[in-house]
Amino acid sequence: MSDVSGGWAIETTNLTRKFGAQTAVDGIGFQVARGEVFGFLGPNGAGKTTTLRMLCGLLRPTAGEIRVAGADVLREPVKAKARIGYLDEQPFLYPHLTGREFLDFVAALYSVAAADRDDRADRLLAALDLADRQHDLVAGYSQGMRQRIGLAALLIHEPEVLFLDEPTNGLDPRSARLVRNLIEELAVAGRTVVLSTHILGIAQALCHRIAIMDGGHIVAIGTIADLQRQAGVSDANLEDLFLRLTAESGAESLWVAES
Amino acid sequence: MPSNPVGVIAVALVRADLQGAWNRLRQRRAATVLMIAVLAGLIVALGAVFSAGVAVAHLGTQLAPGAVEAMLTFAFTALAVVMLVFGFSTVVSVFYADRDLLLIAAAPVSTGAIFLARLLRASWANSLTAAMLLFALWGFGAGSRQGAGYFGAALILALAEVVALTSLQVILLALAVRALPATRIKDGANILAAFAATIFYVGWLAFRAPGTGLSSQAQTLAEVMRGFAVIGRRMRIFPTSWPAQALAGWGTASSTSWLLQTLAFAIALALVAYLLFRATFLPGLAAFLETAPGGRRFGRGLARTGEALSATAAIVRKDWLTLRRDGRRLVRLLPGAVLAFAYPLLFFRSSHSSGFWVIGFVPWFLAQIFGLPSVAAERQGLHLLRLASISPLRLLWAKTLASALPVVGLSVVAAVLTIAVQGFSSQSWWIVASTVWLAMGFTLISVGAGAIAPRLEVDDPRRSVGLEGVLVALLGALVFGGLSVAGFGVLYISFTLAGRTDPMAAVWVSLLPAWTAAAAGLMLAAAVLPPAAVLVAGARWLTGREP
Repeated sequence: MSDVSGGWAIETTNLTRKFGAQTAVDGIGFQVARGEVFGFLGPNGAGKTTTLRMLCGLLRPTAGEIRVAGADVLREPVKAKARIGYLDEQPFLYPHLTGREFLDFVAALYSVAAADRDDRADRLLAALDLADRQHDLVAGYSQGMRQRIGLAALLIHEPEVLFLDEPTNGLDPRSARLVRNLIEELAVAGRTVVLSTHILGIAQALCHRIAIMDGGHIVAIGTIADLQRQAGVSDANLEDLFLRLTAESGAESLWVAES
Repeated sequence: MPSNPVGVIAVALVRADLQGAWNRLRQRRAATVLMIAVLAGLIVALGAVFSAGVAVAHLGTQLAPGAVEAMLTFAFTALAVVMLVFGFSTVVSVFYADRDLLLIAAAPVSTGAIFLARLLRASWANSLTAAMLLFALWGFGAGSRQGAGYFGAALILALAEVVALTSLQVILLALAVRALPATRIKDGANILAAFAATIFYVGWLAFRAPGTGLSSQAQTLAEVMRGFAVIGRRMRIFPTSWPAQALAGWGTASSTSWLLQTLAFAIALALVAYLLFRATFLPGLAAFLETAPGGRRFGRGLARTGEALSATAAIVRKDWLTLRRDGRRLVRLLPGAVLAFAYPLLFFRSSHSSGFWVIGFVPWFLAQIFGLPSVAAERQGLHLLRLASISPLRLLWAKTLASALPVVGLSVVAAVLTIAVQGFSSQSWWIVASTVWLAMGFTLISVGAGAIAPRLEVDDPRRSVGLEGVLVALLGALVFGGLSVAGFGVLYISFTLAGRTDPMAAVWVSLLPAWTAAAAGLMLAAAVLPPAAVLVAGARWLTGREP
């Protein structure tokens, strides 16, 4: 992780989002350093996706401030978005374009120069193992290929800060490994990566720091050691910490009644 | 595990469909309001067609004995054409392309039960049109004081027609699934649906137009009735005349045989449809739901190597590529586009016909087809554009450019065809100029209105804009069209008067600047006010849109 002398890559204060009477995110605040891989963990409905979407300017917060890569997301959205890349859980793709055409399209949206566009597209397609299928329609791609072309599109304008919502969702082990390696390489290259995931192993392996969300709040934040301290246990792994810090459900065994 | 009878499974499937529809209705307040409005409108419409049926019973028999059967044939054939034109995509979805079919196909349910449930669902989609026909038939029965048997027979015959037509569409689709290679099934079925629907509709227009007395504006009711009698005689070759003959001569011995013949025909078609569906269900499912790999490759990219594309150009080019490749969307757009060619040829056979349909209707119609759903067609891609900081007005501009190409192009083709049919005159330039003007304006308005309430979750472009957007599009087009027609009218009249050689000519010439200024004011108002208002409203909606 880079030091923070160059300023924070992400700063938020009192970030709140309400949907009608329901508060999805309730006054959270945190900072992420440049070059840091920062993870969001939490049960379904904890507010992770809402938080990511607010951070990248897709959702307007009900209250709060957000600065990403030095730009105020709410007051300077164009400046901020040019420095941001966001990969949704279900990537926004055009099924009737080929993979290559989709990259060209996204490059044009982000005003990537023609010479850079071709070079970057070639490199990304090769790195993400899509070169052979670049002239196939996205509609014919598997889930893993869709996720990878979404990642390529995310990187075509070389953003400073990347937001990845469940980037390994539905991927086979090989594709998941590819994505994990890519995240590590991006971090080494100085990019800031914020990822939301349910896979605790990925979070533990990749993230410098982790925020655990529950019910719209950050219930714990920091390195694994910090989380252990906050949970009051010294030798727990991330799964134990997660279950301890989030509300454990009282689900009964399905088979108890029948046995 | 004991297997349930076909009927029980079919009822369970239909109940799930109805429960889903009811839940959707309860969740969305706007949908409930819309449904109440539609029901109120439906009651009025059903009352109107019932009254029309009563009137036909009273008048038709007095004026021309053969006209009643002809009008009933006309009604049954009209239902058939409407179902074929608008129902094909429904049949594709219901029988092969809905995602819930995967769940049903994986369950231990017989193909017979699936076919039965889906036949009912597809028929339900046509029930509104069938209800109009049924109330017209009942009105006719009431007017001609028929017994209870007539009313029951009318109900049975209307249902039989719906079942027969739905089955016919399933047969055509199943044949496409059987005949085509797996990678081409979807395209083939879509093309079949588009062309069959278009051919039926254009054929229907062509069939009823010449020599019937109806196409050249009949002057009297007697002429209208004689026209219907001519149509009736021509249409006796179609099975849609069988139910008409059963009802027109209800109570006679032949009416029962026509009734039975109609029922037998519907059952036979349903049986053939079932047999073909049983053989093609799984391959069709694989093709339409893309559970099998496509394997088609495209060489050319969106941009050539080294070519810089602006965001606007990229969106326009992407829309064109998508339109060409998205067979399902193309199918839904193609019939409308073909009509732009068909209308002038069918309606402008005489030089006395006004150019209204070309100048006004065709550009408006094409703008509704291509412009209105263009923003909604982005679907989740809208969020990608938002992430890339594409401003709403820039998006609307790109969508306008992409839509204007087919709208203006096809409108001009329709105008030129009209001029070619009617013969070139001094008015021809006015027709072309006003067509281009209206096509551009209608496109701007429809694109803007389409951004007001896009339904990003809906795949079908005909349903991808909410009621608010459709109403704004209609209102905006009405205001724009009204102001434009007034402006062109003032300009045309002033030039015509100024060109006269009577003693008042000098007066008209002196007034020409004032006339021209008035026309320019009206045109300016038309060009600025409605499009700007709709585009700003659309842009505001897009700005506030959240995933």
